[in-house]
Amino acid sequence: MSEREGAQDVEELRRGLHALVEDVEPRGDALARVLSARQRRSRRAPRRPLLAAGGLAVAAAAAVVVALVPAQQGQPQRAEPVSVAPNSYVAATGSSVAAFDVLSGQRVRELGELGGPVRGALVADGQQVYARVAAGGGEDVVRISPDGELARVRHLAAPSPVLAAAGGNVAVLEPSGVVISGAGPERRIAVPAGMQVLDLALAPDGRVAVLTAEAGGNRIRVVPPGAAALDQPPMPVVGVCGPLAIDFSGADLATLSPLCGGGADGRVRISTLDGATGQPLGAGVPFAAGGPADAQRVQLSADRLGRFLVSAGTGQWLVDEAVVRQVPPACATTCATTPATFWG
Amino acid sequence: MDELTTRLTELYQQNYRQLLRIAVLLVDDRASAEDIVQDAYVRVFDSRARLRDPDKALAFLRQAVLNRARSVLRRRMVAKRYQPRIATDDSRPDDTGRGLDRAVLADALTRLPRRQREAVVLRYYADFSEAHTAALMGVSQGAVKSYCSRGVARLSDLLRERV
Repeated sequence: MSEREGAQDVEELRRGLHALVEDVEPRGDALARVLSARQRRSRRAPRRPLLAAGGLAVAAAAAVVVALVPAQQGQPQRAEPVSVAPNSYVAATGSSVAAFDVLSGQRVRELGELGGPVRGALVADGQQVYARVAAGGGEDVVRISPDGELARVRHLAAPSPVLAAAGGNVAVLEPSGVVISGAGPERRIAVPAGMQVLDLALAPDGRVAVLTAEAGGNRIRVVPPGAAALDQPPMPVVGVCGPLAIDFSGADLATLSPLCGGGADGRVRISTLDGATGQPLGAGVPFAAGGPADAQRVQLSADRLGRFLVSAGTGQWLVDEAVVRQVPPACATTCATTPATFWG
Repeated sequence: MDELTTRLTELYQQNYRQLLRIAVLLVDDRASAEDIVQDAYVRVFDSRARLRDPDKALAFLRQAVLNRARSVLRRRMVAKRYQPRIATDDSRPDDTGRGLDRAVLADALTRLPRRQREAVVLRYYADFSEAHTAALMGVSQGAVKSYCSRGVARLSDLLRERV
């Protein structure tokens, strides 16, 4: 079949498919049925006050982003575009970064070998993964593409305890403050002396959420695009202990917070806040995270479907609304000991 | 009407018809398609975060429709395997001109392997990009290209045989 005949067949097929369903219309009572089913469901399983919906449905939908690596002029073309497998996350086992299935725990494939152990949590911006590795007394921030291509994006003279990425930008902590570089001109946010930065979250629109340890507990401030100082009022804190990790999920800000008070015993919950106003949106279902949680060793990441991966390296949990399931450890020849992240 | 109900209603008005038509093309049965889409809409309401973000909600709805369509087809195959042999296929194309074309195409679609059918419907009916189709199906773009190419060729052969 010639190319032209093929194109004709496709056009005929398009027309045929549209004609086939042109008279398919929703039933007259379709919306009423959806709304009444929703009401019945709400009555049957009353939702938690905010985020933790009472539904039993597990969204088994896959979060998939396919990365087509553009073939550059003069470079060898790749035989097959590389995909981000659905339901996968990335973890570092020693110096190797690999994708793992979030449900079965099986290793999907290796992404890259970094030549040295990965320090701290991995972070992802879509299908690009970022890791910190030791280099020359400091650290290199390395970008790992889905096809395994490695690129050093920044050298840090001193180790940065936190890393975040979104919208083509990477945020690190330097002695002078938070530095955001990548898609546009470099931006610096000064951090007042005595304030310890525990975690960072970047939004694709340029907002930066900064989690800090302060005298009264851990606090979150959202720095608007363009601002260069951390002088915003802190957001209201969910739980008196304050959050341990943060991440943007769409326009909202998700926080991982320990339950405080007697009997909490390492239980945590993921709460969501309005990313602009800080107004609490969801309180989240509490779950046991296996011992006292430590902000330095836990990572919170969100996927496109609004699910969260809580990773403390050896222990990991998938949180899909009110359903929390333990994620098998990420193991190849060795098992991951640093926090993993959703990607794609 | 509360805020979430308003959002659900907006989602319904913007996307329900297209999702229903996609479901009909995937499972060739209006009643099952209606159930699939209804179920997806009811489940999207389980998450306030999804409802607050239209992109997230639509991504969830599309994925849920595809997943439920796969389940329906799987159940149907199992049922078919065990149903009594005396049952016969009672869906014959009607013999009016336009009806014949539609029935022939509908019949040809049912003969495509599942992945080819999904790729053809998502690419050529829903007009999703290769990347988006691949993301929904959980396969690579190369695989989508291949499913589409083989699907179109197979459909063309089947249609030529029947017309």
